[in-house]
Amino acid sequence: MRYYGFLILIASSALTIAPTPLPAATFGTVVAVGGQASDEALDETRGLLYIANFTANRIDVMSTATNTIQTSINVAAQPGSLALSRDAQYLLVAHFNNATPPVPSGNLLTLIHLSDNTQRTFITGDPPLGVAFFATVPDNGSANLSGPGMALVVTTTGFYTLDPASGILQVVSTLTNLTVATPVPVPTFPGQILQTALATSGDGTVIWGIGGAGTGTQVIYQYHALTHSLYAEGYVSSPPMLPRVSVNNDGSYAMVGWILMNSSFQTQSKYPNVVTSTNVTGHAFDSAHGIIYGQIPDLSQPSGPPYTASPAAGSTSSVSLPTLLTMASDNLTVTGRVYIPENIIGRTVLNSAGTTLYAISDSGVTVFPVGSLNQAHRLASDHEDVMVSTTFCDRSAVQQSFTLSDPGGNKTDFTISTAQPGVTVSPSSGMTPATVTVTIDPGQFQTKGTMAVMLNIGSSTAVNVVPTVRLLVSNPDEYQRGSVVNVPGTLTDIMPDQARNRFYVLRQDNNELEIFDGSTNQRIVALRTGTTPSMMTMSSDGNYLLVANDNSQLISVFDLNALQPVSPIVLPGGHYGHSIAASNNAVLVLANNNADGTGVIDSLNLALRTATELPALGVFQNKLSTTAVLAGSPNGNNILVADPDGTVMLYSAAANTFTVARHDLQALSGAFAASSYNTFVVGSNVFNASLVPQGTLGSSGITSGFAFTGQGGYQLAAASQSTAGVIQNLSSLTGQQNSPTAVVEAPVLPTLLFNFTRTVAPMPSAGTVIALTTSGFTVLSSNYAAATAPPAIASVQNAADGSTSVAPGGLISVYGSQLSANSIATSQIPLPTAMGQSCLVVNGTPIPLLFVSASQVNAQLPLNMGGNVSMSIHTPAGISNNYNFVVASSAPAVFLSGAAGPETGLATIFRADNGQLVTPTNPVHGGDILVIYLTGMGPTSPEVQAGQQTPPTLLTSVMETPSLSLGTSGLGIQYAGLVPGYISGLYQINAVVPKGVVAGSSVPLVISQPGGSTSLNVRVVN
Amino acid sequence: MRRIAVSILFVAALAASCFGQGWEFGGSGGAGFLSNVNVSSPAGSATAGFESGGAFGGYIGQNLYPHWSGELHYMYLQNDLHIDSGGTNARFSGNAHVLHYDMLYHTNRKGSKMQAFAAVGGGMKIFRGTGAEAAYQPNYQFGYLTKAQQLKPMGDFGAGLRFELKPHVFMRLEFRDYITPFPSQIIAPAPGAKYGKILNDVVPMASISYEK
Repeated sequence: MRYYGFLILIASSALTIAPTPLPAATFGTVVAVGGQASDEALDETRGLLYIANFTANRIDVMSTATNTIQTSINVAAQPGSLALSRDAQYLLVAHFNNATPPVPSGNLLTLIHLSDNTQRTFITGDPPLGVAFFATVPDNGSANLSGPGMALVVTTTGFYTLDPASGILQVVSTLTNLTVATPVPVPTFPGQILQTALATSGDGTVIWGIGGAGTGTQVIYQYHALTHSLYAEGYVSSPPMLPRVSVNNDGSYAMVGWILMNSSFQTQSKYPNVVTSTNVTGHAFDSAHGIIYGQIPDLSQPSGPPYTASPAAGSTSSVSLPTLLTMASDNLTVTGRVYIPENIIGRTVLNSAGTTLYAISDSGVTVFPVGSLNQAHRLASDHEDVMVSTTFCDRSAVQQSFTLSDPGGNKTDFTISTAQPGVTVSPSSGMTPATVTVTIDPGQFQTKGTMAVMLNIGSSTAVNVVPTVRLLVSNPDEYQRGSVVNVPGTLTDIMPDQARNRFYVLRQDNNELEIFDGSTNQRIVALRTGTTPSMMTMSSDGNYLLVANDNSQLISVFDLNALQPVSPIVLPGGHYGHSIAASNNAVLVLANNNADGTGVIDSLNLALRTATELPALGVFQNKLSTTAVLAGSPNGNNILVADPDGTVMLYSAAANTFTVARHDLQALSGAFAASSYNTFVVGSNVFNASLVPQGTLGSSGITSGFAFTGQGGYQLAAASQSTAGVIQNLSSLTGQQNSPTAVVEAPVLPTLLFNFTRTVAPMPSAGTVIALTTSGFTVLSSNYAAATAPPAIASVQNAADGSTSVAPGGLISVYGSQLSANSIATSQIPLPTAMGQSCLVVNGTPIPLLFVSASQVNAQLPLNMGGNVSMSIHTPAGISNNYNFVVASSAPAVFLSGAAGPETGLATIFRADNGQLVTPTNPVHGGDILVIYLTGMGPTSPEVQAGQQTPPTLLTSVMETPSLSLGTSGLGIQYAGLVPGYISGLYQINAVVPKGVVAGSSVPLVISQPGGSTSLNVRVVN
Repeated sequence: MRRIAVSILFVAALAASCFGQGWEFGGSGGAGFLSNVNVSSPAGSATAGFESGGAFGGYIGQNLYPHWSGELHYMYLQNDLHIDSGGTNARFSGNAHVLHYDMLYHTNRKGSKMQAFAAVGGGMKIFRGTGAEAAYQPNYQFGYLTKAQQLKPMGDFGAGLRFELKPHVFMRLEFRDYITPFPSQIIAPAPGAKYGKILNDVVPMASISYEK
């Protein structure tokens, strides 16, 4: 089991800045049983939970209505496992009793008839470890889901079936001794003694189980009621899986210990960063919602009580309260964490409605009303990252806002703190919902780049772990190049797709492939990968993207034309892909072979969807480091292997084997790339076709990325994570530097655990170079180093219709030349006042920007502006001459941005009747309500400042009341104000067309305000 | 729609008032086959018009002279609108109501088992577009299929055979050609598009009538 440098880095950064505030509140109710619970069975028919009290030799019966122990059923010694028959008539108890000296008569099963509490016992001879009921299936029939079913009984040496009606116990199979004997040392938990767990699928047809849990080799098995077949597989994992099994509804997937398996025993997903625990683990499927609830030990989970308000001395845990996770049932992506009162240490059962979870825990059982989680206090932020940008043209304090809310709509208290000088948060405490404004004093930030500051958010009542909000303070100087696009999360790989003018980014923490448009640099879509995606490659035909996942046996495959996932490729058992590369012949994967902890190369067959481990790498052993990487040459002729220990190898597609292996250097890390000219780069080292080192490239610190663009390429490096990156476009692979240029922020750099990084993607189709950097990625113009002429403004127009009439608060388009080095749009709210190193200044004040490019900038005029004004634009190349224009009190203009079929540039006038644009084929009718989107209507009441979002529930009205006419008819106005939930320059008019309006193929629709008017022709039918 | 209802009431009232004066009452069913009009526009050429569809209605006739009778007809026609150009088709639900008065000349005198007859007359036709309008309609460069109704004057002619099935009960096999100007508010020409002027709606039908 390995874990990930980026995650660790972020976690440790958070720790060093400030401890995470701890909540006082936890979710769930503990029911203490006065002993050690070993198993539970939920009887929904009677509203009872049966709890096997292993050490008190009884079955405690808990009412699920009151969550109190009502009665207890005394049974024979050491009730280790429980199972309720399918019809809830029988409760079967397995008594372990593997004592020293042996007491064979104590190894028995107790069958309790629940209607009268009569008990029958069956001697098993060997200690019984676990029991589970399955639906009985006749030889030629379907499963009997209403009957009691039969029980599968697992002992230390065999599998049996027990018919509860007849009491007949039959052998299914035998196995080697699985368990330990009592007495055991203190403290030892029932799970450690039994080392076995079984669970049945929701439909009763499949039982999954694990034996020998907690030790080296473990047995995982499935019993299929439909075929009366038992399948088993030996499994070794590190750390070993604890005996916890939960199964989805049809038995096709099971969570065993900390591993999600499919019916072929393939590892769909491993929980990342798991740590060894003697007893902490428990989970349950919610198949209806595609989630798994559970607790799995990692560095954030305490190993055991006492659970205090601050981490124990010497603890590696960042919190001291356990948490219940909500995970996706396909790749274990954690979507939520809530603090719980104590560790889950055994079986976890979800009721059939999916509303209540019952988990064996430290004191007995903890009840989690997961269906009522909305009623518990929680905190959530609408931003993962809050980005605040300053520019060289505006060093005044800047602000950015985000919203804290309770997903359930409760009033939840919060506090926000940061130890970073120059950052103030207002309010720093309060109740949800709240808009929190972060103010940055750029003077306090000496680093010319981006600094990541963690905002610590706490609450005394919230039960959830509030995801830390990352405050990114971008404070570049004018000599630094590039425009930052914020992409939250841990980004591990980037790959250009020239043919489609896209680029692909792997977001490891969310298990996503994010696809971006090369022209707009906006995300097109995010697709789900396997667990912990690390690296990717494109198939040689360019139709598929393959992603290696560090914690999954699956290679994720995506159809790049359809932008859809297709069937994954399964690596050999125990192999987990780390790096992947394609050639004209083979697709190779560097996998972590769990069997011996080494890296091995597997070969994929994309057509057959198969993967095989190469027996040897040509004449060399197939044995590498698990963190080695592969890089394919663009022409598909070679694949380079780079190992952190200094080894390099070369796969030749023509020879279909490894033709070179050398170990001339003692260590390798950083950038890696292969060219189409038989040259290779690893770190700053250059290798020839025989992988003989040819010297080093001139670089500025640690290399982060290298991308060939022919014989040369782009190299990205940085002295450290806290300094600006340096990029250079090397025309040849020599030690000469070529115009090293500072980048606006630091690139992603290698770590001790993630030795190699690929962070540069040239996009000739878009004229840009994309680099993975601190905030997400940075867009650089491909001629970033060229001298640029000062900007010039040619015209200022209304952004809606291109007219020259503009108004306060209105959206405008500024046309000119050299306005920005890059084309960048933003979805950031509030709008930034600097983008792509450009800022637009009106009467000395930077104004909010929406889009910048070389010839056009879209922006919003402030509300406090009118009459003759002066505008200039600032770029690293200089400041434009002033451009003077007039701002009217109002200048209504309807957006000409609608589209219908091939028709574009249509006025954004909609018929409320069918929600479609008004066109000649969708004409205005008498009685229609028209919804018109426009800008330039001037101030509103209440006022929403420029650059801000109009609150989704806020209705405003424009101060200068408009009038509307259609031909000779006046229109009734229902609403004229800002569009709720959108940027404040966007206005909306709802108007009623009178019946009897004059029909015509081109009737003028006139919108008038005191400051101006606009007219559009529409077709009217009566 | 209210106009249609009034018309039907008028027919019923007329029938009641004429009862007992050598009258014939009939119901008809058939199908309407409409001609298309050619459309020329800067975007190319197209055809526009109405789809064939079912037709049914009724009539009341008065035997005026040995060879002449007069009839008032109502027909409902289900005819969807269309504009076709190349392989692209635009469709829109539609129907029409027809009310007309015809003079019929019968070859045989009254009381014959079989009569041939010719008809000529006139009235009005209400075209209706009933489909769902959308911002984009294929072939929009030629015209717009519109949710509206338009009344047009109509002339018609036709012919048929009349058989006596049993005393007072007759079967008629006949056709009419309803001729109207093209309804340019229902299929509205796009700017620059030129449409044919006349629309023919040939309706073969079978009728059962009772004569008193």
